[in-house]
Amino acid sequence: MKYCIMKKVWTIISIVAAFILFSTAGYGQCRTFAKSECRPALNPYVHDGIYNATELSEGESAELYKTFYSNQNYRIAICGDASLPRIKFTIMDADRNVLFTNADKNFARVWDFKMESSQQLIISIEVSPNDDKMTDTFARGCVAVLIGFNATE
Amino acid sequence: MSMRENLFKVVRYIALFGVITAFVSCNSESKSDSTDKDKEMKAKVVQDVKKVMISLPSPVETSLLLKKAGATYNESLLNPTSNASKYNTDKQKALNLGVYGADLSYASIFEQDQTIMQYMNISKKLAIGLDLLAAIDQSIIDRLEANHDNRDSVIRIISETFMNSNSSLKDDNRPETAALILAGGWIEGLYLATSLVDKIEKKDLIERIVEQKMSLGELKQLLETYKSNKDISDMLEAVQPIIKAFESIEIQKSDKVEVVTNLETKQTELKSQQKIKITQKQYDELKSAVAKLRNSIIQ
Repeated sequence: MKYCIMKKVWTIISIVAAFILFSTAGYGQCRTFAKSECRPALNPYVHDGIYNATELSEGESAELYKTFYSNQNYRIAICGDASLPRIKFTIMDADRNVLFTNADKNFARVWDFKMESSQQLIISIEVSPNDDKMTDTFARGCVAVLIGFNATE
Repeated sequence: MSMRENLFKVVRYIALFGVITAFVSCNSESKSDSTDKDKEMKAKVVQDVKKVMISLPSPVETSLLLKKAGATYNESLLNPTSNASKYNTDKQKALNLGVYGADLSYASIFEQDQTIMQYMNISKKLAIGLDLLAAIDQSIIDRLEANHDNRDSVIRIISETFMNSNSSLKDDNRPETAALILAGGWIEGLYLATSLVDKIEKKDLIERIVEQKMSLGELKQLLETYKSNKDISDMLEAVQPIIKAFESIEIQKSDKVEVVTNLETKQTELKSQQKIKITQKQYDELKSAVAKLRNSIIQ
């Protein structure tokens, strides 16, 4: 019993220490990651300048809401930190009808499209759970969703 | 409360929760540290806590859409750079950094070299006033000067400054300031658009203006996220006349969005129809509400 409590206490101390470390270090890293790893994936489209990035763990998901305009060519780039398993993204209309999922395209990280009329779309991102791993720990890392548009008139 | 204080508060709760969990698990399930059932439960809880991000249209994108719809350039509509010295509070600085960002984008789409440099410099001053030292540094000004005759490069540099400022603010746990900058830019973009159109017969531009009803929903959602902040709740109150003016303007949409991919070009198009219903009176009310709010921001 005593051994069990000690073991748990040490586990908690380790988790809290890791939490402090990653909470403070993660802020700047996510920004650097989005800029260096994800923005180049938008080329030749121009990044719209809006920073959408968050830290996610395996199995966690997030949604981004954005209005896309008619007769404009767009590229969506979704990038996940190397420590994370593959990222699934799904594009839905405002009524949550699925329009695209990268699960059908070998988990491609970019998608190019054009709108006939302007619409609000929902971009749902999910870090796939890693079923093959040997430990109980959940990987956590930055996921960025950047949007580019074609600047030619 | 500072970010670090918030962090320690969170850590204290986690530690307390962890200690309680450890004792409970030791007493009741000492032989089974983590069963498959636990893992499933954990995954479900994690999935239920979904993060939400709101992305407003960037001022560069808005300006480009307006130009494509037939907008012209009118320098007299911009917020004069001489106004910058009047902005003393963080709220004024943030909103007007957004306003100047939109003016800068408008000037860049119409290739107004001199104005671009003036507005980039004034944006830099406001950014410094908000402790956003890295958002617009001297290297950006130098690159802008060196590439002033290349419109594509200028747009990319401006987009980079927007990314620098909103990423710094979000990472520094100042999302309220980022939201105010975005709100200022959105309002200025709508002000520029509505100031360029008097009659609803200018269909392409009117369509672009009315479509902002959709992104207004996103702006409202963004502000509501941070409405415990006084500056944000004031801004939420201030945009109400614009929300009201948009309410009576109708956008009819087809029920279904069809996804069509051209197999040769591999271009995907999301096909759907929309019809806009607006009267001159409704437009005049919208234009007046936008001008009133914008002028209160820049004064």
